[in-house]
Amino acid sequence: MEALRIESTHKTPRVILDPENGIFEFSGRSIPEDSVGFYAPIFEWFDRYAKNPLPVTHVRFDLEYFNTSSSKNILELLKRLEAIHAAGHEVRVTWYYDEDDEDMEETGQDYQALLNLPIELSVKIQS
Amino acid sequence: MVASTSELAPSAALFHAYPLYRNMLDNSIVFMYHGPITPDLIVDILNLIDYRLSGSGEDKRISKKLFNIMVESLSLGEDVNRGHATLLVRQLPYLYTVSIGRRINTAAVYGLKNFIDWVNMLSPEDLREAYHQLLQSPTSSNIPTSVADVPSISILDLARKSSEYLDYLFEYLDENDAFFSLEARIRKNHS
Amino acid sequence: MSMTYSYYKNMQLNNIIFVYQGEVTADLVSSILQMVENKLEGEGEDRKVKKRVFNVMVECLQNVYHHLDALPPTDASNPVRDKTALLMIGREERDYYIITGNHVLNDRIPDLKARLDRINRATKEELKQLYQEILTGTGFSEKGTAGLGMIDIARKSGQKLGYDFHPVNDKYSFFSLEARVSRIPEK
Repeated sequence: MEALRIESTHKTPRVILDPENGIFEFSGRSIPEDSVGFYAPIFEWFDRYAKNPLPVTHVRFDLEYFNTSSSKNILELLKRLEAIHAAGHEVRVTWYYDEDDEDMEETGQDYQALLNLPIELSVKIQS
Repeated sequence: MVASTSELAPSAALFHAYPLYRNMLDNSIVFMYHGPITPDLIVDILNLIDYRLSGSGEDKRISKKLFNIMVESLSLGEDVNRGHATLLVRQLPYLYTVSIGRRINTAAVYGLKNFIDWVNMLSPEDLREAYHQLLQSPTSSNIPTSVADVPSISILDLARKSSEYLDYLFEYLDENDAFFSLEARIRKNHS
Repeated sequence: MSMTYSYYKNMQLNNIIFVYQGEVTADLVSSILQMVENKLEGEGEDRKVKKRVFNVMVECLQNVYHHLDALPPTDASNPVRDKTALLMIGREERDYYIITGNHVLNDRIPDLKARLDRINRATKEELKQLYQEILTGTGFSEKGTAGLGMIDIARKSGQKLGYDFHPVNDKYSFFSLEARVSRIPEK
């Protein structure tokens, strides 16, 4: 399946969805004015991916900050992963946060509570 | 000592400069923005605040918190149809405050006030629960998705992130419009 | 809490579209410029007018930067600890105005005032001449090309400069400088 790559902007994260190399990554900020528009192609991509996923899908979220309208979309995204997981394929999510960022940690905990999906919270190593 | 001014008749705005500057200093305002809040500006405002905070050597944990609150406050002020919003950030000895103010319809005042009062009374657990409900299934929840044109999830988010209850003010401007301002606070020693 | 509202009123009343109060460092200047550029973009103004407002503002900020630089680093009699300044941009029916404000030492006022008055009395042609004199080192300037800044602002603005020295204490005053840019595009 073809990879989906979206470069980051001031308002949107970098997205790499590359099954061939086993990389699934979201990094940067997510404060787009039209978050539905931004996430729609990503949802579509996952809908196609769900038909024939890898034995293990490991998705990394390394977000700096985002608004609530993005958090809804991220939940939608995680629900798609939850479905792949429920269908018997292994899915792992790593949610990175800065040691200083309690809000980002709390958001990760929110998703853990809302979904039946292994979400690991991981403190980012400071560079 | 007498103030010396130019030989020409200067504009009224020139004489507002010093009082405004003094007033902002006296009120510990570290940042103020007035105007339409567009997505590009949100990025610029955040960059500017970032420089100012890193320049003043603020604890990273606090500046993160402030940042997250500002991101959400700005999305509250984002309403192109109603023109200008005012964003204020104050740095007090023990506290930061972020307030956003903008015009809303007078008809929305009652509902919005009740909603914020309700949010302010929720315990942290109930707040979390309400937030989860709105995030997961906005339509089946008994919490309205928006009050006036303010997304209720944004208010819940601000309430969760701020260290204290949300302060607000409604000022009637005319029969159609009221000015609505909402303030979130972050305690510097918040743990 | 009523503070937000009183600022809102103040801003609306004075047609202010942008205010910045705080430190003026190189990093901050570039983000302030970026912000105002985006803001003017959203105002739907004539391209030439926008450009002039922007150019005048760049020069005004640079000017502030020089003045702040001339202040003693830490001085107990300075009413503000940091080297903070004010930038205000307003849009009126006919003009944009750009106002900067910063503290200056009182003993610099006579010189500043003399320069400003000289600039304001000069014709367009004389300003050009004065500018060139300074560039070649024969005109007034005590600190590099600092004298150029205000002439440049006056030339770009195309209008007289407004100014005000507000006494703060026996050592400092608050110096506000106003440059106006006409919204009526030149033919």
